[in-house]
Amino acid sequence: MQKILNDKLVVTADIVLRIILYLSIVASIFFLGKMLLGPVLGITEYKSGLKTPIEFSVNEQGTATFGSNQTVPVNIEHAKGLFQIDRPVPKTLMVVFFLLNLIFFGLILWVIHSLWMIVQSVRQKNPFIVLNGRRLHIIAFSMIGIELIQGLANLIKMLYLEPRLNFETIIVHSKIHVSIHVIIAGLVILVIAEAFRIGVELKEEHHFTV
Amino acid sequence: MSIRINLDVMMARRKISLGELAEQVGITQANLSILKTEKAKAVRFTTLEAVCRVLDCQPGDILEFIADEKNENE
Repeated sequence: MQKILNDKLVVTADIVLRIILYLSIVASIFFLGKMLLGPVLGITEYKSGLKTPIEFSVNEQGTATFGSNQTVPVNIEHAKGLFQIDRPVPKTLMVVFFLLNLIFFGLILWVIHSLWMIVQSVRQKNPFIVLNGRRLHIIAFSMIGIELIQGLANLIKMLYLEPRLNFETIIVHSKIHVSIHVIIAGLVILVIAEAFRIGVELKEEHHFTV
Repeated sequence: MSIRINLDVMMARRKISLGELAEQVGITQANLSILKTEKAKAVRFTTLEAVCRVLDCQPGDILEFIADEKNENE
């Protein structure tokens, strides 16, 4: 019963990953194509597409009601948001972001594809192969890479765009958004990949023992 | 590899085929082929013993140590 359930899970994972991979390819081509034709080459109508997470100080007074008649004052001092520049920004900057996005999407597709190939090898009942160890390494390094690229992109936006922002009521102070969770997950996968490599070596040694 | 397998030589001397030897030793032909083609990473004593019994030879007749040129120079 458990085995049938596991087999079904693997088949489902295979189908879901296949769909995600195809959708990601289409989305990547669409997004990068739109960016290339618009902000980079200036052929089509466009917005800059530079959506950037920002943090800012505000001073918004409000109230919160508890129970039937207990109302207390509430103050928002700090908020997070996204800003987007609707008009062209310097072409050099857009080329830099286009290249960063190209690497970013490339890494995402590589991760999904590697994961899909691992699932396929599990479906074929042959997951303990050297290639899967390499695929796990690819996934781990790509996850760390994706996060670092996002951090770099945010850093560039922060250094270049933030000094140019002027709002009447808020003061923007950006932070570099690098998810430490993703980097830790990447490191964990790296350790698993190494354990997997040793396991494959042991399996091969066993296989070639007569 | 510094251990050479002379199984084919012994098989030729005893005029025995791979299939026959595999059957008499009690392992698969594929496994014996791994040993014969020097792809094996380890040999069990039980396998070695059975091969020696069938071929009526010593382990040294099948396994030969070849010193590396680099080590020899040192």
